[in-house]
Amino acid sequence: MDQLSVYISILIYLIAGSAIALFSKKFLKKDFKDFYTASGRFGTLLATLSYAATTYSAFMFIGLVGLAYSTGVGALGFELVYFVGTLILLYFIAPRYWKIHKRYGYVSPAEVLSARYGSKTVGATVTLLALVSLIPYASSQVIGVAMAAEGASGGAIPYVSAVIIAIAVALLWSLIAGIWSVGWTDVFQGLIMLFTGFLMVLWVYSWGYAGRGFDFALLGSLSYVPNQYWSFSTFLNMTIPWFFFAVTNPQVVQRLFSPKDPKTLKSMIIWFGAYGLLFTVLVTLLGLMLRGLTFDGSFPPISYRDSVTPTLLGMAPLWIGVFGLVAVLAASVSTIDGILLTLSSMAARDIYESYRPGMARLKLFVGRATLGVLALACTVFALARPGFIVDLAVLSSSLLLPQAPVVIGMFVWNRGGKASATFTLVSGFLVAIILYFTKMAPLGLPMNVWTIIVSTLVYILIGHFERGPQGIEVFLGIEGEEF
Amino acid sequence: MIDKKVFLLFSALVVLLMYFIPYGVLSGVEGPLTFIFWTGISVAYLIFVAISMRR
Repeated sequence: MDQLSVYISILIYLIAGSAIALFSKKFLKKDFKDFYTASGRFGTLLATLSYAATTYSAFMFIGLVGLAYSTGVGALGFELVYFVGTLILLYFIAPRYWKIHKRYGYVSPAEVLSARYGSKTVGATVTLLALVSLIPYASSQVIGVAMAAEGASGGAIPYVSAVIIAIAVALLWSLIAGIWSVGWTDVFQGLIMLFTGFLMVLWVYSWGYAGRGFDFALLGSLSYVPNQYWSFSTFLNMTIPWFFFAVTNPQVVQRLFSPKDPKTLKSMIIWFGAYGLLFTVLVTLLGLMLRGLTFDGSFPPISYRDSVTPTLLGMAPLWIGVFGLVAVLAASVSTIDGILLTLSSMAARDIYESYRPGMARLKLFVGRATLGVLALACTVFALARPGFIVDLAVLSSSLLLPQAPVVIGMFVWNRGGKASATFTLVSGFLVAIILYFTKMAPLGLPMNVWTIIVSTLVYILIGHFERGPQGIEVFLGIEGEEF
Repeated sequence: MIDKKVFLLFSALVVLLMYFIPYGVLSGVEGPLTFIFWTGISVAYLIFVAISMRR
């Protein structure tokens, strides 16, 4: 792809997306709650594709394709454990979050935790941990786009330019109408992502396997589980934080507030499942097929796994390259803007408004200003190119993992308050950080096993001695209500 | 109507199978069987969730 084609395709995507974002503005009521949660007015299409596009990111088109290419079939299991875990958690947790939001009008996920554990310290702690943890994840999206643009254009589009374009688009589409512009552009982007997934798999198949079919035997040791990469310990370590993604990542938790009624919420979960499963299988198959083509000499060997998709885009015909690049951009932007929006709502609500209640009228301004600061932080992080996309994504989820017992316990246990929640979050975060940087694996158990064990034990032990705050019955009783 | 406890038990079983079939029964088996197993059990689980949510 030449430089001009890349810029024209990005420009068309930008114009179409911005037109959709501006169109969505007519749905926005100009208040804080509507800006961040749509006041629970999303229909099935918006809710489903917004959830899917926020969840599935450059991690899929760049990270998972590369992971499947370099490590084999185990990559599919890693992503499908996430998929099944998400369905389980959504089945139990989504109706509870939705009802709590509907009844009390909570805007940020951290605010719900503050209410349940009876202290604004809990919400502030969750917010601070999320701010630290999600910057690597959001940045990994930008890295994905920049690598794809660089690869697709054969280096004609500099990495720095692509980083700036991706961040600017995400910021613009978040600011225009908050969740409404993010949601409507997610619909547009979610459809592009799935369509392009099909297109790329079909094209690679017809290019490399027409007449002979794809045979797993081509993959050698990569068709085995376990193999040199996917030991049971590695599989466990990578799947644990991913399994709990749906309750630990605030950008997807906040999406549970947006469906207009219980029927829409149920449809959202089921259609998201269909989308996610299809997308996962397509993307993994793409990586495996490309590896097969490397073994028979048709596709160049790639040692840096995040370069697999960019290399493909650079080699493919112009129309595939254009769709591929736009799909990577769509996958990234739809996740970044969701993260920026959610984090800004948490900063405004759980830190600014909680501690400066007299200045509450400025909270929408604070939210928008936070968007800008976060975008800048992601740009700086992305320009440093700190590591593989999959590793950055898993690191983010690892740091958010200590929230799992706090969120699940919120609805099922009548013990625990400020101390149990706060100590759980801090201890789990410290364990994750220490083990990540020291690369230690005490008793041979990987980092994320220790993080979930320590945070769960701290939650249960302290909670055992700490009575739940007043009003806790609202969170527990919500289970028995008709849904 | 699927009881929530049945749902939880079935889900836990599915998760266990997703770890222990590939790393146990299919360990070291070459070819697409592991791929088909993971995909098949995920499709089956999605159908189970859809049925459970339509109650």
